[in-house]
Amino acid sequence: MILPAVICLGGLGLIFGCLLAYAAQKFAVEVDPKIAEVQSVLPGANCGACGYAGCEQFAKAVAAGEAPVAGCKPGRAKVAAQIAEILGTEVPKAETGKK
Amino acid sequence: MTSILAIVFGAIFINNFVLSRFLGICPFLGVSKKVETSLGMGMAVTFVMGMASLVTWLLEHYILEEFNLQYLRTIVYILVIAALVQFVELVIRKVSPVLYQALGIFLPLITTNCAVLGVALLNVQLEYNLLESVVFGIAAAIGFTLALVIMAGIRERLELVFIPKAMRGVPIALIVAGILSIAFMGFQGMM
Repeated sequence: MILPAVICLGGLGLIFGCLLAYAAQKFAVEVDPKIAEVQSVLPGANCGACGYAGCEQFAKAVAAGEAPVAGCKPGRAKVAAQIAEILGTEVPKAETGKK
Repeated sequence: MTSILAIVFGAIFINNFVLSRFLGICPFLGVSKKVETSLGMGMAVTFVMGMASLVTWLLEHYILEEFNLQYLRTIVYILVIAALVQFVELVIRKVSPVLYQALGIFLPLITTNCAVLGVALLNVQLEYNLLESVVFGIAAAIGFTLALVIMAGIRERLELVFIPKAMRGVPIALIVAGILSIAFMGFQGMM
């Protein structure tokens, strides 16, 4: 009695899983992996001090080269250095000195 | 043909899922701030409900009945709905990132939207055939969209008028929802 139930539910799960895996590849959104990396070193407080709506938007802008590497004010020089390392650039001296 | 028309009319107006059956209230209040967003939500729900009606009918009659597994109905239906919602999420994320952001958490929450499971279970209860099931699913979703869009239209207007401080936000939204529901009760006498 229990065997058909297990096969039925397991089989359906397997079919849906395969279809979804295929759809996920077909509709994959190309996201710059740097965005996620930058976001992981940010404080994540979404304070808005950088001038962007939140840490995610700031990470996107930095990865695209639109925002300065040292733009995260609460993160200070430490975060700026980490972001620079991820992007493979250096923190401009004038911006690190006072922050 | 008349029965199909009756199903469509009944699902949209007389037994409107949101305003008469009180299913799917969560997105009704959550995504009804802007007409555009509520239309997007409505389209996503329409696709999920239509497809869910089709797939669950086939599963019900060709697998569950065949093997006497009707007691698995709820869990199988939820599996189908969850997979469909995941698919819709993938597509919307690719096609319209703006809509994806606007819908936010309410998009994955279609999975737990009782209106979708409600349609699938009602199809069994009312013993509809395949065509009737799909029509009922889509019509119910159109009724859901209609309720959302009406609500969003009213809430957009409410932004522009003076509302006493204690009533702003959710309280006035709940009162509007109640009055809308009463208005839809007027359709009950039609059939």
